[in-house]
Amino acid sequence: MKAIGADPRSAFRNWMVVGGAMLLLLSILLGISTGAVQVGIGEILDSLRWTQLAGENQQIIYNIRIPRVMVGALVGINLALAGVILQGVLRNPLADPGIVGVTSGAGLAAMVVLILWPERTFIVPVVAFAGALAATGLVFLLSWQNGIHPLRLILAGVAVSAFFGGGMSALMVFHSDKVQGTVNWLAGGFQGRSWDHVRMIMPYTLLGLAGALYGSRYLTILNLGDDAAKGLGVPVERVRFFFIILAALLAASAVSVAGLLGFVGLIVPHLTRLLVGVDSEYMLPCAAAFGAILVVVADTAARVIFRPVEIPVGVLMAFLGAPFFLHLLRKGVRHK
Amino acid sequence: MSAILEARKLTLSYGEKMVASNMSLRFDKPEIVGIIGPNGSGKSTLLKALSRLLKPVSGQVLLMGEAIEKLPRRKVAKWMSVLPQGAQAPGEFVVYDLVACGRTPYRSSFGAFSEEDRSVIAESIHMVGLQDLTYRRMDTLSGGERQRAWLALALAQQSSILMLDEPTTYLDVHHQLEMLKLIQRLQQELSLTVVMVLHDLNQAIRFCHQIIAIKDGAVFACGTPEEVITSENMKKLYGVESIVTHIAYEGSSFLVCFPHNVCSAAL
Repeated sequence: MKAIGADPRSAFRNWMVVGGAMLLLLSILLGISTGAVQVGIGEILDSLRWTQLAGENQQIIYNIRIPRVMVGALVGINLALAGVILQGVLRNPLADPGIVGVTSGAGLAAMVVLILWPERTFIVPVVAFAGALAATGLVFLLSWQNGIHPLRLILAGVAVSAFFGGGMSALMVFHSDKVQGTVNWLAGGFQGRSWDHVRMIMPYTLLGLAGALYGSRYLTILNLGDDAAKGLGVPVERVRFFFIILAALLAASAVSVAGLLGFVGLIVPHLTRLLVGVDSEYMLPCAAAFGAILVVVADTAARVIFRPVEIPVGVLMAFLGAPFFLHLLRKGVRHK
Repeated sequence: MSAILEARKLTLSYGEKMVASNMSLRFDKPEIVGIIGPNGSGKSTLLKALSRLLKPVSGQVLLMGEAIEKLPRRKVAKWMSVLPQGAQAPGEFVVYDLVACGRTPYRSSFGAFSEEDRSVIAESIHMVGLQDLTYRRMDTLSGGERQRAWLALALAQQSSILMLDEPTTYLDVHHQLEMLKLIQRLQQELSLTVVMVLHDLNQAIRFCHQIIAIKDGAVFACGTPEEVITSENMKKLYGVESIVTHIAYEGSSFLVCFPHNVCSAAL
């Protein structure tokens, strides 16, 4: 065997995977312990042991903090994976879950409920999920022509999003007195998320992680373009179809429990690519971890910075994440 | 004995447009075959059909005697490597990442690269002379180095057939010659069957054992460079007046084709 030297990236990448996992654990603990009532690690462990649920703090931890942080982490994972997958499959760095219609579909469906049947707020997640899938289905139908062509899909996505967005604007204009109730959902957030929400999103996260890990090598190869991928024996149309469906499910489940948090799905893939490179076998797990960390940390910060007022996590994420991302981008460019 | 690669009565269309009809070709032995022809004559489409990237409207492509459409994709990828025209990898790829993709047909769905995969990847990178740039990002390489990295990917497939669609486009003359000489050397060392679309007639003469000239979706001429590149053929194929002659230089004789004018009829 001819020598080509060891991969200089491997140490850093392994460190990133381990570091990401540890940072995620830390941010989860921080998220659970921080809030209006500070709790210690001991109390967190106690509340996980069921027997100690009697105390008020344990109630807060078990019924409020843990589900909230878990929903945040799962939403982060789902949006990040959906973003990585879509950017890879569509070979477009601007692709995010909004591109397959998920955001606008969920948005319109949720708004119809929030404005027209405000007393039924509890069905918003289910309706939003259905709306997201309906919009994605529409985008698929419009772009289908002997398979999914990336450019056609993106254009169909833009058109469908514009159409649904128009519906949202119309609702806001004609029911301007009730818009107040929808603002929080539109900005995205985790206030009052419960174990029900965890149960709602968890299956899709597991499905997404399994699917993404199984297909990660094909995702890398789709980066080379259709012809090159086909030349390597990859059934391009089938793989693309599978991935887009997976991304749509991931994004739809995230949006349905957290509202419109678009930013994660766009930025985390880029951030991960800058840090660990384009190899999907590293990129997917890292992106999942970074997405979860970003959302959990941002949500924790959103709760405590202006205590007792909570700021919408989407706003905070954009304010903190965008400059950080720009910083990385400039550094990355200088590396070349 | 069945041919390495064979096209039987191929009719090809690209979208609505009919590109080729009833085209038959045989590739019998490991040598370099160049496909030439004017723009829009169907060269690239033919190459795509031969490499299973385009389904023919009718007719058949046979790979080692078997219908290519019916063969498992992975098997085809182990026998045949394809380098599409203007292939581009994301800038974040390093050379190693790209070449490693060539092992796709050999890998199971799960699991890391085997020891053999890694040794083939290293071997392929050495064969194109990029060993010192193994971990350099693709977007920091020159055009010639990038093409060589793609060639290494094709080699990592360990196939015996290499399909190249204009492997020298976007390269300057130095890198064009370097690339073609590399292809020539690899063809001899590994006894490959190389089918490539070329634009430059003199490069086709110099590097190809056989030349297939395509015009209006049909084989116009086929044979050795001496047989195909004639003044008469160039007039009919491209509509150009050209001087085709041998020049002697330092003990070698080169066939050259110098197109000097468009045919008056074409003006």
